[in-house]
Amino acid sequence: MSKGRISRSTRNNIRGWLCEVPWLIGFAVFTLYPIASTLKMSFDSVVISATGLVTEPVGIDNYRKAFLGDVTFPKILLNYVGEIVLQVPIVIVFAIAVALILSKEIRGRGIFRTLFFLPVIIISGPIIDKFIDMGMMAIQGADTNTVIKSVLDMLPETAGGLLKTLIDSFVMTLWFSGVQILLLLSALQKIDKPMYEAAYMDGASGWECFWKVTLPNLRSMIVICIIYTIVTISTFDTNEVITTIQGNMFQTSLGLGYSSAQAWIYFVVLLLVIGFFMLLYGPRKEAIYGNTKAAKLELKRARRLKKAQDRNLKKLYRESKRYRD
Amino acid sequence: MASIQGKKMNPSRFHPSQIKFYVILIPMAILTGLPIVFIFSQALKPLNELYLYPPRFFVSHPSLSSFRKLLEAMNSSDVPIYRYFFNSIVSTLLTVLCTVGITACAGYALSKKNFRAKNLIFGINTMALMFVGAAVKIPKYLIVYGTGMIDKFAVHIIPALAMPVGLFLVKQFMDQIPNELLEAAKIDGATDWYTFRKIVVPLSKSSLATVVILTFQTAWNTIEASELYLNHDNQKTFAYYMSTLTTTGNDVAGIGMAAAATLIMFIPNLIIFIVMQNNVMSTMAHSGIK
Repeated sequence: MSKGRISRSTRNNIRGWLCEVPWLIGFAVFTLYPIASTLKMSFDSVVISATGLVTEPVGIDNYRKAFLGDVTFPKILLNYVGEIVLQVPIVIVFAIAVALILSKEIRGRGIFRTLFFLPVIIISGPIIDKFIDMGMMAIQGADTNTVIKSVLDMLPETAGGLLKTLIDSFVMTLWFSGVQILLLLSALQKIDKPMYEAAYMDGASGWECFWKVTLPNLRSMIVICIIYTIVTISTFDTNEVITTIQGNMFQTSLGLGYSSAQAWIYFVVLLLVIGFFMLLYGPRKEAIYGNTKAAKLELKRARRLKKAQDRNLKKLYRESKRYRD
Repeated sequence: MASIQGKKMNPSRFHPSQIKFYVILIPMAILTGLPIVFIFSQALKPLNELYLYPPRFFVSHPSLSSFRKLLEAMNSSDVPIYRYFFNSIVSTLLTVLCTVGITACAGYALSKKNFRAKNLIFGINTMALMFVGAAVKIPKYLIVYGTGMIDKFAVHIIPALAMPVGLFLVKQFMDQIPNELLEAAKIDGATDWYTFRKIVVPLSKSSLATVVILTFQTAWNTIEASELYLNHDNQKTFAYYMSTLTTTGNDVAGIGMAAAATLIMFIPNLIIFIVMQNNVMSTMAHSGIK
């Protein structure tokens, strides 16, 4: 009886929430609440004493100190932004290339897939620190290679520095692409085969197929991969920003309040980085189906043409008017 | 391109035209496979080779001396070693099982159910992904303290359950399951639970397997709970024990023990990976539903 009275949307609401609740509780208690309390702490001066945390509101002092007082923090942050802007495209392009090759029927495909997914357990495991200590992340001999050296010398200092860190962490960058390859592979398998056939019938080459069919269809997945890449690289334990923040946390002179403020600044910077990539290559709903995307492009072109025509007409009109005057 | 695949022009056996793929794949594969080789060779190195400068990649005179030292250290520990091992296995198993269940449910609801505030929840989750984990250590401790979980075994499991990365992956993966499929099941009289079990879970197996691997990784390797929330040694995990061995023994023998310990810690990861990855890859091939 009572079930009949509950409307369908309410029932959906209840069921949805029921599935969601266990996760939500855990998330709220152990992830969201701690994050929120760091936000509060970032506006406080926090001292750890024997009886607990002693907090005292200081307004935006912590933030001011991070930008104006701290010598190293803004520099580290800038370095990080430069690095990630370089690393993300490399990871994505590498992941797309490997996914494309692995989606083909080649011999030993299973073994290769396993090998390329392997970084997932290496990157999150305890061994990665050892590798960094050993200098294994660099391309061996890159430092002494005269060609690379002379290129580095020619570039301005900041660009050269970025390039150098890139070379130093090249292998590591590739290792960040395990999950991305997997995601892209699954997306590749969902692309309609007839679409390729249609393109092929219309005389498209493999290269054209890639740009006009494969890539637009992968777009939504690539966006996810971009976010995933930024997140994994940025929250990686050996990341310089993170080690700095962690180091500040237990320093009595700076304390928890200051490191919380730094964490929030870092968070905002991360959001900005993601926003930047989304501006470059954001999600587009219509890109899910290649043909509608093509239609949209056509429409756009038509509109642009019409605009240009209008403009020309107006120009003509204006000129003719001037003539008459 | 896949157009070639459609015409079955691609041979199922090796063909010279495939060489170009191998030229790219093999060096990359070696690059990603090297760490595994390195872990093994490092663990088998005798002491003089570990201190060799410049360090050599492969071991030239393999010996088990590091393992012997590790065993000696284990035998002299106060708490029997199997106790740590038992703690690790129980806590890791429970964490993985619960996380996958909770994440799958939540991902299904977020992806396929319409209810209020669902986009908000996912948005917050994605934001939480980006927050520095290290910065919340102390607030997290306060919560664990506040909920009275200090010195309880549950502290290994409960704080680790809601994993934002997992939900992110699973939800995005489930988004790719066509709604028509679920509608068809609904019309045929399938209940929510049945649809979830028989359609959603099997189709998103590869992402769930990824979550299993990731959760296992964190649960097996983490020392946070043992280090911060537990005071009694007999509740701590194997990972913690290994870390004490390698950090306190900073004498000359320490580096050898560390290498051996790394290998021992790494092997379960590798096993889980090999078991699960088969799952990841095989189901992916069949999930191309239309």
